[in-house]
Amino acid sequence: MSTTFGFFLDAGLTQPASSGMTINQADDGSTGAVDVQLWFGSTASGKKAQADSNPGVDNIVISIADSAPGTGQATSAVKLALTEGGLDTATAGAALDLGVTQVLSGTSNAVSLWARIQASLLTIGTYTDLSLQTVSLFESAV
Amino acid sequence: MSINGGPINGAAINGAYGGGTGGAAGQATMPLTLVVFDNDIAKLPLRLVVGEHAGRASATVSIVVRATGRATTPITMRVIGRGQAGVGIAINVYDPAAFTASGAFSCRIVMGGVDISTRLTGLVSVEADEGAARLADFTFAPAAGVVLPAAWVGQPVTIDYVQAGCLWRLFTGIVDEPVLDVVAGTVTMRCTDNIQRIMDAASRDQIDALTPGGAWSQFLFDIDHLGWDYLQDRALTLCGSLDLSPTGVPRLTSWLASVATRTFTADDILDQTPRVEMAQASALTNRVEISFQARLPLLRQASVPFAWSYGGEGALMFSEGRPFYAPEYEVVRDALDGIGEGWQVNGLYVEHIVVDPGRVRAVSGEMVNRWVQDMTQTYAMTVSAQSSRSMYGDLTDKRSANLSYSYDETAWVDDGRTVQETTPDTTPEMEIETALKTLLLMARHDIRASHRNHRISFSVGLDPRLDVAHAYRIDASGVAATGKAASVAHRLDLDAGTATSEVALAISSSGYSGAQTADALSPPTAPVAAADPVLQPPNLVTQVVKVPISLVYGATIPAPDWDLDGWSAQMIGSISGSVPTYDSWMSFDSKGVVKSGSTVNKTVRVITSISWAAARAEFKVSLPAIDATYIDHVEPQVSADYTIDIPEDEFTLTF
Repeated sequence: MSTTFGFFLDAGLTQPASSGMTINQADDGSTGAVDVQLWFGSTASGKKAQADSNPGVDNIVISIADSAPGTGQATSAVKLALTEGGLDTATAGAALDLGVTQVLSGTSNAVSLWARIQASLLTIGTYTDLSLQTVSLFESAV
Repeated sequence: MSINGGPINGAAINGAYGGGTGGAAGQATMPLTLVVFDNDIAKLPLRLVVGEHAGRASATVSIVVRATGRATTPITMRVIGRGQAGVGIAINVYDPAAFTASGAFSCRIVMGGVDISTRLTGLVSVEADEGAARLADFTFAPAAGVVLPAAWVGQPVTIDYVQAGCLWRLFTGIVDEPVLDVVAGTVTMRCTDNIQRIMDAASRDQIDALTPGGAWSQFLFDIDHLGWDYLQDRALTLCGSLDLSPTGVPRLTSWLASVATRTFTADDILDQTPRVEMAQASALTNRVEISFQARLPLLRQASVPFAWSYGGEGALMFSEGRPFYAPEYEVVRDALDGIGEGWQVNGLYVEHIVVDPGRVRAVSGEMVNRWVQDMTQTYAMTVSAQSSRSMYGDLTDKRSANLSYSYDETAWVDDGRTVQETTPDTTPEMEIETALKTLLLMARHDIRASHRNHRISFSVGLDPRLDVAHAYRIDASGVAATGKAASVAHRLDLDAGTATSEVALAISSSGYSGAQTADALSPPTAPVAAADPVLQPPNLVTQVVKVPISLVYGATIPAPDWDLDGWSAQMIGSISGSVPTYDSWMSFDSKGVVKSGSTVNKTVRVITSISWAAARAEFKVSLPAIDATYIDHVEPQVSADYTIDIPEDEFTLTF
């Protein structure tokens, strides 16, 4: 079974991030870091997501996955924080603890987070080896 | 997983030894509680350790049934789903020089999951206007064979610009209308990013989340507006535009052109000459007068305490020669009920006379009157841009709205009086505040929008990064300006091998260069009507007047002051007489009253007793009339003026 919870690209949760997000970086490094706001939630009604490891006890954590370690972009290309201001002090490549044991569905309950992305490799090309992943989620009715 | 709150295999988990010595007797018990999480496998292996004991080792299993029957605790757990949520990150590393120099490019279009890039012909265009749907057109030659053209409608479409090894998304949407050229064997697809349908599918909560800072009132817009229509309403309260990004993501972008993401010079502009269009004075607005009226029920109440007491029974009966004549309860009740329209008794206390059933010696309580006064709150507000007024004078628009709140008066006048409940909240304060806030934001939107109608347009070599979400600067041909892109159109001529981007900047300016101030657009405090009237309690007296028998036929008969409130009674004596026995010195007047020194009329009966009866008795309670101020339609008013600023974008011309 899959979960109705996921990442969205807008506060209204109208645009799931299922197709990913694209960040453009000039090869001379002039683009600099690009900050992207994401929302984690569900448009279903009456649902909640918890960490499958220990539902209701463990916090929900988002980590940076690299499908091709050693090649492409490194996880250090991404910083995560709950606020845009928090990106300044976030550790590159570090997972983000949402600080909650559960997230309720609904627009108003979505958790906003920020990703700061800056290519670690400036060779021209398109790199798709990085992604954000939640811990395994356990979804149930509220 | 834990046992008894402790960790499994924790050292503390041991059964308690229940008694006896050396384990010879007694009972060791170890109640177990197994906490199982929903994703755990419930296992509870038990190992019974019997301590060393002389003789044989034994373990007794005792099963005690405490009561017949069965205790059950149904547990229902519905697992909706499990899984991970993820989002891929694509990082395009590109050569920025590729977009400022002519270079080979291509276009990648995927329609319905099929890459049709090799079948494209002619022109591919993508046009984006702020706050509107992004549109795209392209033409392709379908592969030979039978096709179902109707199946094209609604197919998902993505258009990417390919250059320097990078894909740049220009458009994400659907096919809106295929246009067939049967002769040429081509189909032109007119596509839309489908923002209307996407927003139609969104709830009001979702749209609210997409338009922070906006407002909406059912008294200003159609209450049935949902989806796209609702979004359009809220957009009228924002100084920004909501549209979809090239990847189809909704985003609200401010009109402020604070940071230009690229500067264009004459070298970048294809024809080297930007086109400048100035806003028309007739379209400018720098002052908005707002009139908002809220017609509301003003729930009124007047409460008047009253108290009447006959006084000490004994004193009245035996002193001053006055008879004791107390009112009947029905008389008092009728008086209280008949005070006037709207008045009713609340909390009536009655002290009955025990020895004279049906009569009362004291009453007290509260008279309550409730009514509803029509009130129209009038809010007169002005929102103005002082900077623009100093440049152009007053260019005033007017906007008015009203709210009428209906209320079932009986809930207050009748029901409420009976139960004396707390004043219900009939004033839709939140709705009024929202309406006022919406009006103020709409005024600011109108003023600022009218000042950003200046347009500077130019064409450059296609830069896929150009988007209506960004601000740009131009410094070419004597035009120096910075503004947010109002429209961006990418055109790829695949046959000619050219690709251009046309940009139109919206420039906000009133030409004012001084400092500006801006007020917070907080609605004014609601105007209030006078508080409920305070009425004087009635002075309830007791007047029981005995008419002396000697004056029954006299000229002046003592009587109570019937105008006074309270209990008033006029008692007339009923004469009982007998054959007169009198002393020789006695004489009587014509009324039978003893007198002396005159002729005695012996036919007159001598009064032996008088029984008193009421000739007239009233219990009266009157209250002062409620002033018309509290009854007639009332129109409290409040006014407020607000100053807003006009963003002054860089905008100069050098000749």
